[in-house]
Amino acid sequence: MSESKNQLSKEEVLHLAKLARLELTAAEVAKFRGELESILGYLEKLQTLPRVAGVAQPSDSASHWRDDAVEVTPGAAELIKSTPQHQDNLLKVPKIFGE
Amino acid sequence: MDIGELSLRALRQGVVAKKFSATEVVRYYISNLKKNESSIHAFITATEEGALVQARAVDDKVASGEPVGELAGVPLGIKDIINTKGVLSTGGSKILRNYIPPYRATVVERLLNQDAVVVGKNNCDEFAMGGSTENSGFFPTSNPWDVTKVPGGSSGGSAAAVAAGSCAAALGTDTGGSIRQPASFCGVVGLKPTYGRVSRYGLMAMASSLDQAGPFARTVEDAAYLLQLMAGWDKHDATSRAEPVPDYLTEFKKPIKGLRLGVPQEFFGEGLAPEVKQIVEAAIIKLESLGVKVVPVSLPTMPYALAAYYVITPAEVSANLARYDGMRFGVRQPGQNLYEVYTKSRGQGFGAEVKRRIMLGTYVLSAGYYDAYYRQALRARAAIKADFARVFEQVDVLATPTAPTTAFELGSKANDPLAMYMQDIYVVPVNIAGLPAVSIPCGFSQGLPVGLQLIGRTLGEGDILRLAQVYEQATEWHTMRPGISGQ
Repeated sequence: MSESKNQLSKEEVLHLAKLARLELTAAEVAKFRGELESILGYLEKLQTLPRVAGVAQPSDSASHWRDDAVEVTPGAAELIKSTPQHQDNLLKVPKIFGE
Repeated sequence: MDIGELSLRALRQGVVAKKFSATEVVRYYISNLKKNESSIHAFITATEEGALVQARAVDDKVASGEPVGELAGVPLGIKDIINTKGVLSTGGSKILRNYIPPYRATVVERLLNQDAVVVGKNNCDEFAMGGSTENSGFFPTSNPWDVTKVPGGSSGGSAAAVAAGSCAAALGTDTGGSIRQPASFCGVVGLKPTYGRVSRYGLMAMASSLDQAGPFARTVEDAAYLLQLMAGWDKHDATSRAEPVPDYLTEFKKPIKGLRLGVPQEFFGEGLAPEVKQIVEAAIIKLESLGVKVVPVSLPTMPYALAAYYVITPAEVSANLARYDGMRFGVRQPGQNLYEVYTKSRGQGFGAEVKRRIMLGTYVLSAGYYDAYYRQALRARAAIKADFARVFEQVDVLATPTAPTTAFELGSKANDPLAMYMQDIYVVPVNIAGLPAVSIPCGFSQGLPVGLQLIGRTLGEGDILRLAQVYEQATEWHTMRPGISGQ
């Protein structure tokens, strides 16, 4: 994306914001651009680590699955009630076609 | 007798023996909480009414001779990132400012099953991202030792509430030091368990491979007691560990003589405030005088830990926080089309640090950068885990400072994210390796508490708690209370 190391263009910041579905003000774009460059500069440290094979797993313990049994929790009505917009037992969302 | 100085077990015993009622205990703490809140601001929501209902239920049980739980009448604060059924849970974020969960976290469920009483939801950095609680979407919390200083973060509200005596103990979460660093800044005990020792079900996910819930308390015994009651496998969290939970209070009785205490040189170098260094070194000498064998050790991968953390965490954050889309929970902003509803809901709902990490995570996971950043960070993680594993063949516990400084001024690092990240340099490696660690008070520098971090091997909670308890018994730091200014 960028020409020199750890430099981000305004367009790249806007592209990241688009991918992440974040509306940013012009002031935020300028601020994040500088801050992300400085953080990426710090992360350069990782490049000095030898590129050995093998990456880490979060836990050395085996996952333990629960029994495959039906369990009703919590009620659908309660879940629907905690959404921003709903009607009867349905969620109301913006239309997804025709844009 | 001062109710505010009783241990959790003593509170329960007092309630059972009818020396005082659960209602009296809860009223005592709620009155403190109300007094403290005007200067400390440790709670987003206080649940006085619900707490008194819970307390009355305990008193009714006692009166009718029914058995009561192990935390009967014990007033707790719960970090707002932990879901409480029917009680506002914002995670410190405006995007969830109206979210009332229809279920509760397993850790809360387990403590409520033991008749604990919830007095409120503690303030925190938004979705646990920060080291000062200044990133809360609502208001900052003050340090009870000096209200012009931060309490640390992200679980700053929980730490400040316990230090100020607004609750007997509290729950926090620790992804990169968010229990231990505020415990250090506020002069209380903060325990981060081994990854998987405690269920993550019902925690608002920040970085799922690192997040752990744990207790804040005034004493090591109280922290161990809470861990005992919340640990163990949970069918709702496939990463929770199935190993049986030991009786931590029995572990206290084992002798510490011969226990090998490693002191890793990488934690005592540049950036550590001289007075903090002196105090932590004195604590290690104290432990030596109590019978442990001190062994200098080295963890050469430590310089990579913070960089790895600030790749792995934002990467997981960018994925986990995709769920806040204005559709299923919280606040939705109007827009011309679906895309705008997403970007406006998220753009207006999230604060600066959350946006910064989502953008950084999006960057390190993007096609051209995945190998250079994310995969490389996972390599660093493997190297760091191996480094700790090697050292734990030579020693049983590691001792380090919890934070490089004492609590800093409110506002002093707010405009420098990297400076804020550097605060976590001694706590982050522990999460990367999934190990347990506790921060305990070990002295004061210019009137502000200093924390000693004890790190254990995987599932080594018993070792670190036993050592912490022995140190606590031999010192007076845990008995000191802040005189909250402004009261």
